[in-house]
Amino acid sequence: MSGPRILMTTEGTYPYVVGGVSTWCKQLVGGLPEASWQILPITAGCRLNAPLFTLPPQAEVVKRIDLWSDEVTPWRPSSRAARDRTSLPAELVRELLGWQGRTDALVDALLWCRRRPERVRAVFRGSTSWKAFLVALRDVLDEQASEAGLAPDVDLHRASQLYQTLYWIARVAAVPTPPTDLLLVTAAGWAALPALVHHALHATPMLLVEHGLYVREAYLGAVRTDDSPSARFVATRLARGLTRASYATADVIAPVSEANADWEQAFGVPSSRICVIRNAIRVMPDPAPLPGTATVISVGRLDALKDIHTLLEVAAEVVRHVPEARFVHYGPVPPGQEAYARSCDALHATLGLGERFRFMGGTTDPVGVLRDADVVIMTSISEGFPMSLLEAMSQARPIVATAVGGVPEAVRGCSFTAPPGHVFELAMGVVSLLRQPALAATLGRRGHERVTERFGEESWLAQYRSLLLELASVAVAS
Amino acid sequence: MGGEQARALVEARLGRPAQDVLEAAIVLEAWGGLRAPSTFALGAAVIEVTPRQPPPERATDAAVLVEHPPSQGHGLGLVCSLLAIALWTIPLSTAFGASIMEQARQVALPMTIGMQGLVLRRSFSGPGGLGRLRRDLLGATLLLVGAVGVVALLTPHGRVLAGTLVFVWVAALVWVERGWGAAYAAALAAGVGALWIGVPPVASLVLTASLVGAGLVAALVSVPATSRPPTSWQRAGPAGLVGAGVGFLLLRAAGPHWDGAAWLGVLALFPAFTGSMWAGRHQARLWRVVPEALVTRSVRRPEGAGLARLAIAVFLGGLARAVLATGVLSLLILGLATMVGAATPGLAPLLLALGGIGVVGFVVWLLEGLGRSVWAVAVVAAACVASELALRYGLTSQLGAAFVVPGIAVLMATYPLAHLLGGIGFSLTRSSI
Repeated sequence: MSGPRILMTTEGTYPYVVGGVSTWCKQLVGGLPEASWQILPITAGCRLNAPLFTLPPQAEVVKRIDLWSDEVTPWRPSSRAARDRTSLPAELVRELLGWQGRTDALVDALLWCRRRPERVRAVFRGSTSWKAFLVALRDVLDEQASEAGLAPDVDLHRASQLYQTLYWIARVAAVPTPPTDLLLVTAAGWAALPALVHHALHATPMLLVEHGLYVREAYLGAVRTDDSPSARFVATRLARGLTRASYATADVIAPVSEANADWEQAFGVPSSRICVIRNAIRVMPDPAPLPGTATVISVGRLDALKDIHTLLEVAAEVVRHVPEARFVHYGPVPPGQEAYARSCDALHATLGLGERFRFMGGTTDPVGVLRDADVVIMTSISEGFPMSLLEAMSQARPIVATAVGGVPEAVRGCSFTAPPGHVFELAMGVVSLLRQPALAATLGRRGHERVTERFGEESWLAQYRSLLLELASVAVAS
Repeated sequence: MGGEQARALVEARLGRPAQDVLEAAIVLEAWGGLRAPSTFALGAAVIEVTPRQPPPERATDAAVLVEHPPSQGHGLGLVCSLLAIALWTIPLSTAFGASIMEQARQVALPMTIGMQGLVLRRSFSGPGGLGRLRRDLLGATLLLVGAVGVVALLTPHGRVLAGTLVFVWVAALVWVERGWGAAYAAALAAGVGALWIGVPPVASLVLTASLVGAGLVAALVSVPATSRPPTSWQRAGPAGLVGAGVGFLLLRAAGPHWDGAAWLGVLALFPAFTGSMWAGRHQARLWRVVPEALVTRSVRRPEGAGLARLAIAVFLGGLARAVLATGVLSLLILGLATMVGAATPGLAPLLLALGGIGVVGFVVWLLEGLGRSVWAVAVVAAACVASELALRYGLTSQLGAAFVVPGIAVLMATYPLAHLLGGIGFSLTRSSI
């Protein structure tokens, strides 16, 4: 194949998990057949699952990294002269969790992992490394930074979990990456690790595409769960460290919305390195009319970020005003969100919604299911530029959504929006649309026009084609 | 919006002060209707006016540090099944002949304990054991068929018997894990009953294997497959080797010239097995009490001797249980044998020897469980060599097994065990790495 080779790193998405980012990856990989796509997915806890997306001929999974699996790095003879880097865990905790962590020092540590993959496990199993790690962690906790409050106390149990997490960061950094012309990172988190190392080794251009903002979602996730202060501290600092390293290294950052771009700039990324490319969708010319069955549909995984609790409360409020209203939610329970899913079930029971709100589980046809909707609702507390809303607009369905991330940019003029968590306002939006079918049809039609004019797949692909080829040509030329 | 107002909004939403400027900015954006970069500036103002005091840490649930503490099955069912296995072999020995039974046992015992070690580590080392085994059904089936085939090949004069022994003994693990230990014992009793009413020995074996196989299938289909994949072969392999080594040591301990009744030779295994299992169950507490203790200790204070004392206490408790159970049950068997007139001069040394190997098993399984597989394999290998050398240099197999083999094993295991128990917090952390 004569086109550029593009290494796409994903995290918990394409091609193993269905969702907005996966749909985006599928569109891009399928839409640019002139490139040779090398997919490097990072997943957690689904080692034996088969891919949910069929890869086109121009794409292949080069290696799958399954976090927390117990696979051991294959043994290789190593030079005795080369000394082990027993400071590795300490360096990782300092540079990733420290408020003033240094990206160059972090990348140097990660580079060592790539150069000595067979020693990573031995280093982490050494008691010297553990002791140095504890000292470094204490330093991080005692760090004085005006923008950070005082760190909570961290117990040894949490420290141990963090140590195991850092081991996996080192493992991911150690995974070899194939020769490529461009690194395309789909999240500023774990997915960036192999790219950071590859970039440092070969100076290959790196493009970071941000859908939901990784660091924002990590903070919101921590806020919405009942974790202890130390758990929050570790989770958020880790996400911040990964994001800072990704932002510092990426040659170009392509957020999917202006709202994301604002965040990246606030994080210190110069606007010259930011190129907003909003998501897009293939639009059908003649969408079906609204069914008139008072059905409200939502699509999204059962996750605290999607704020399903608010969705349930909105449903309860709506059925008080429109008793015939029926809510249907499509979305899987992702690994790690089982407790949240149970809390949703409990709230569903408490609110007495019964058959008026049904959880349907995941769907492989997120567009098709929307045809049954009179209203599409989304209650997320964080979004990039949600594909599910574009899908609703492509089907001419009116939308009620929270005004987060790129949502206002996407649905301007064809929806009701409200601040996240505002149950009454969201509910009144739904009630208005259910009671006024003409208004609902008008908003749906406007949405269809808007998505056709602004978020069509062709122009989206053209933007990416231009950006990717330009970046890849830099690598080829050098 | 000013800093104080923003702080009030953030604290109202969070129910506590913001952790840092980012958290404040994110809350102001998500629930305050503001957008970056103004949220960042306001977030900084929030932190500026927030009193600087560390958040109070509340105790968290001591989620397991290591997700796969060794599973030890269900106590009573386990004892039932062990006793049933020991007693089942008595009529088989009569039906097939002591010599054929002995040949079959020589090959089947190490293979069985090896296979059990492998399955324990691969599927049962953690929650949802049967579900993991179900997910791994093809691999496990091929492994079991392979083991049965190898044993049958290695036993020219008792192929069916040896193969069935392996199948039935390994399957016990699944029945017990399902909580059906007593039913398993009943299935073996049915096989014995068939022999008593005159069913030919091979047909009785087929009947027993069919019953056990049906239970095996029922146990597996009655649980859903979990999403959690089984432990990799690379990690489970050493557990299999350790098991096979312990099986070999048990055979060597019994020696080539058992002078008593065959049923007594088989029953003599019961105390050591039971003691070892009880000790192992106790030892699994390490994976619960140590994380509970770790939750109460700050990284700002060193690990201290308290944790090590706790770990050593659990270890000694396990050892005491192994010795106590083996001793008491051995005395019971001695008494029983004397009562029925089956006691021979070799019985007491045999029980002592098997008890010694039980201690070796306890030590090596602990090493393996704490992630020191290489040490565990090395210790069991050295014990096997010591057992051979003891025989070659004129010691009886029982004396060797009772004193030399445990001595070597304990000597070799002392350093790594002291190291592991002395830094138990890190030992548990490392065992998942």
